[in-house]
Amino acid sequence: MSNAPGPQFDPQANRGAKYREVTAAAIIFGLLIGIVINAAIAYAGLKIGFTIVGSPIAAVLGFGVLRGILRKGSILEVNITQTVGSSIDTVNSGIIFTVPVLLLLGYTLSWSDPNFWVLTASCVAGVVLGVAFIIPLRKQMIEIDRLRFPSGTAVAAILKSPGAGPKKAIVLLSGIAIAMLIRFPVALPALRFNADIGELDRLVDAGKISERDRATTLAIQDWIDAGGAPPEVVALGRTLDALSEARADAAKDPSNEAAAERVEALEAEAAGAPPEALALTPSALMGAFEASSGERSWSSLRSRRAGWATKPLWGYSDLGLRLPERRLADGTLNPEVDHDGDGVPDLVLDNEHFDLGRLLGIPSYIFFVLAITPLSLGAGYLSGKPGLMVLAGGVLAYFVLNPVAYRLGFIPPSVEPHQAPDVGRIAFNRPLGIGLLLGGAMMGVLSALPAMRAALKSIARGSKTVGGASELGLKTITIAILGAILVVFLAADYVHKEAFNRFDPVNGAPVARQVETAEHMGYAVGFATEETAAEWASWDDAQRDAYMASQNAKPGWLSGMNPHVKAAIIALVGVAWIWFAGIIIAQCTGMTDWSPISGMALLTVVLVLLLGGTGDVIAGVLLGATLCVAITIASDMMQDLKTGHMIGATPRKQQMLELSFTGIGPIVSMVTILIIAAANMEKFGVAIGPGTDTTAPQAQALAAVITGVQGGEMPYMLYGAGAALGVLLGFGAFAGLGVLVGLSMYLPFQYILTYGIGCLLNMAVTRVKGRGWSEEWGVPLCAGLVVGEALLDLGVNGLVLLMS
Amino acid sequence: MKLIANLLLAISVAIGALAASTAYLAPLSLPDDRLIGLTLNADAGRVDNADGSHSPIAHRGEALTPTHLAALRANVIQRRGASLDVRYVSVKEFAWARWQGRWIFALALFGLLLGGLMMRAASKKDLAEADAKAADAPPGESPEGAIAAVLATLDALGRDMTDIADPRARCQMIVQRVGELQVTHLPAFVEAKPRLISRMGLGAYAELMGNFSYGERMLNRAWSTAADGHIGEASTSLANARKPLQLTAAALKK
Repeated sequence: MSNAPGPQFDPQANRGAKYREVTAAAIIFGLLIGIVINAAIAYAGLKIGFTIVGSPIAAVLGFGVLRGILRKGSILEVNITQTVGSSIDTVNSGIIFTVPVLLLLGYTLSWSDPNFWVLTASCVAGVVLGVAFIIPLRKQMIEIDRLRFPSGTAVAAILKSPGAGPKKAIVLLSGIAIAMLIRFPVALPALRFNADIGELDRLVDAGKISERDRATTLAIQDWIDAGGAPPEVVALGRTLDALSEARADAAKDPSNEAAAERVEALEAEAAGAPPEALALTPSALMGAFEASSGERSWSSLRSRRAGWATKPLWGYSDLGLRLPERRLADGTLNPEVDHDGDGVPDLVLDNEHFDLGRLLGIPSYIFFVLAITPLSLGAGYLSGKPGLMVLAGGVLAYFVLNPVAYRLGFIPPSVEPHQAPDVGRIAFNRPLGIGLLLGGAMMGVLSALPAMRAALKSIARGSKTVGGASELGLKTITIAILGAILVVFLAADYVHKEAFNRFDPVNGAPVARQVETAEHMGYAVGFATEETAAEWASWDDAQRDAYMASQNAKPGWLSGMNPHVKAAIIALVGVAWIWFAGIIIAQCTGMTDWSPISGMALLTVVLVLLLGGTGDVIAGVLLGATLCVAITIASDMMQDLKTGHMIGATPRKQQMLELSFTGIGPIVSMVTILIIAAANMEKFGVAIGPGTDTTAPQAQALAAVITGVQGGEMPYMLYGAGAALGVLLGFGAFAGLGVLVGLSMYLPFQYILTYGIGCLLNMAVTRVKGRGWSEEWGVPLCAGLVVGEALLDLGVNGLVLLMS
Repeated sequence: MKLIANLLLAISVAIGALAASTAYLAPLSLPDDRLIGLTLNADAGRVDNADGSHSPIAHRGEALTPTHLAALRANVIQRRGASLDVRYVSVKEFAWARWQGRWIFALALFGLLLGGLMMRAASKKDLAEADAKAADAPPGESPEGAIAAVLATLDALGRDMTDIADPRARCQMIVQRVGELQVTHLPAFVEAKPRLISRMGLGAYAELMGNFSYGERMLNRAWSTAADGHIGEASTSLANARKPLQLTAAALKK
């Protein structure tokens, strides 16, 4: 093995020179990377529903620029770049999973809207809390518990590669190349190009475009050929164009009654259009109107924006690998191999999954599907044997619980076998899993208390202990926490003073920002005019209660309290929950690389709705977003500190930089959302969600939870039962067992399976080649797998953004 | 005993989860007065329409009525050639008395408690045995041996480096020797965690690891800075690593 130091450094030249660690170049470049990647991932996340790990990308880019181009970055200097970069680019997931919920539920956000700035300030406070709360746990998690933090380990492998010798660098690069090769057919179909008329039928048959897309494309071709469109199409296009403008006007000014009436009238007019016109996509109809009025040429309609069908680039599904044909006694295709009922066996390999279970003839109510994700495989390998417990939870949920529940009739018999895993996941796996996770985390925290106490003592003693000065002092941490708590309280207090309703309870008119309000059941009820406020005052309690019930605004546990006290309690409970959830997330990412952010967001929103009342949606989302950004940054901070430990960085420097710059992240993400919402309003008349380019799938799921809580549909007992199981599971030899088992019951199993294979591979390699070999060569290869997928996804997403 | 404890834990958690999954199921075998008025949390029953489509007998969100109950109890669903009765409906309301799996769940909790206790006892016994074995083991395999080997390597490195004038060669030597420690003795010391906790208690172990980890981090820093060719920073880091590792060795002797 060659361990020659990096060739670009001349030891003679370094004599007497200060070693490069925290430099202006590292910080500035980290800031640039962080801001750009944050905005890109935020947009991509709203569009496709998942985000990408930021640290490895920041490390590779920092590495390439500082060492490759500027030819002066040291290992620890590149680490500073990735620390600063990831402190900014990681928080987007916390925001895009939560903030768009307000837009989906009909609230508005704009530059002039104080709620936007209150939310942003609260999220900035959230990231400060996330960093400040997790700093004192570095010693416990990294030094004492020795959690693996697979992404942090992967980043360390990247940073160390030049010094580790050419062979290891080649292995790392091979890992990146293999990941890209495997992932290309998964990522490429996201890139779509205009389809030819002659291939439309084939694309419909292959399920790549809808019948509506085909009809629209054929219609557009006819219009281009004829140089005009039928009058009913142009008329509907004109109506939709006007409707889009009216919706934007109504959204800008909710008190604009004329705009609201116009929207209603135009919607009715559009609904009455001839069916042949309604069968076409809105963008094509609006394009036809624009072309007929001379605003654009007819040939310009041959574009995806106008509704022309597009075909995806090659993906795994194009291999056409299908399940073996199995027929029933009557000659019809066995429904087990034809879930979509199209008379052809289903694909065994689609663009993202490999259906191993059905290939082996396992009943489809036993979910045995592998996601094609080298990142999960690599993370599994880096976790090794401890990560295997994650697989155990998934096996329990998907191989035992769901099938047995299905066979015993706990899942309704009207559910088809292949739908059973999804039904089971929503009905009981998820709440039980989240409960297990909470119970396990509680045990984990309890059992780690002596270690935490020792770690805190050591930080408190600071420079009096060996190495103590290398941690950020408790004084700085305390100031940061108190400042952040104050901001969260002010934000909670502000939103509680805001009217909870968007429409006047008396006349149904939209409620503007500066309104009359009256207090009822702990809510500020808003009115459009002084007259309606006076009428409300004349209502009796039964009438008012009936109105509140119609708005799903039930009283919360704190409803009878003074609003400021209520806001203070909600803020303090929220902050305490952020501390606890931060530990859970850091433990999860430390042991497995998975972080159950959406589950924690869900619990936060539920907690706030229970405290403040089910109508307290803005406060719920505010604290949900604050928690989400806090816990995402907490896990990122730990990953960065793990990397730092492995390469010998000074924790204090990383902690200080992260604390100083992390506030930029939420601002970038919030501004990105605002820009996207404004652009969507112009283009589609809808801020976000269905009907736009940015469907925000995660936020849609959270919005469904909020309406579920309002409708009294939360399975609290299942959360409690899961927590009891989690506590007792952690009572044995390993306190955090409940966390691992719960995590995989709640997360999508296809990724857990691939991850589990990675864990098994590690164990097999260690057994055959020994631990040293497994670490020395397996780690750089798997670090490459993690980085390769992240880089490819970022690249393809960048192309998607450019093309759209 | 460990195997039995593991089996007990696995079976108990599976049974507990299964029993918990029935918490919001209302069996249709219950008398009408205990079911009427409950709110459905999922569509219930299925009727086949003439056009081949299906409709539920009662929709999610509806309150159960005597008519629903009669229709659901009579409902037979054809699925993949099998005739299936509707036995449960999923409801929003929870009631202890209606939860059929409550005793099984309680039993599962007891199983987990028992399994946990057995696991603790087994782990304690294993650690005591491992500790006894470690006392007889060759010095390199014990935590004391691992830390002594690290310190010996540092001593040797210090001696050997004084003989070399070329900074590049000194950097290479650090990268190679510390690199070896990173995959041998340092992880070996970390792997002794369960035995050390059993012997010292978690609080004392945490203090021990504070010193060890600082020393380890300084060695990592020496490796990184040497790989970057900065002999000054690498030498300083090597020197910084010595004291905490000596403190670790001393704490182990107590």
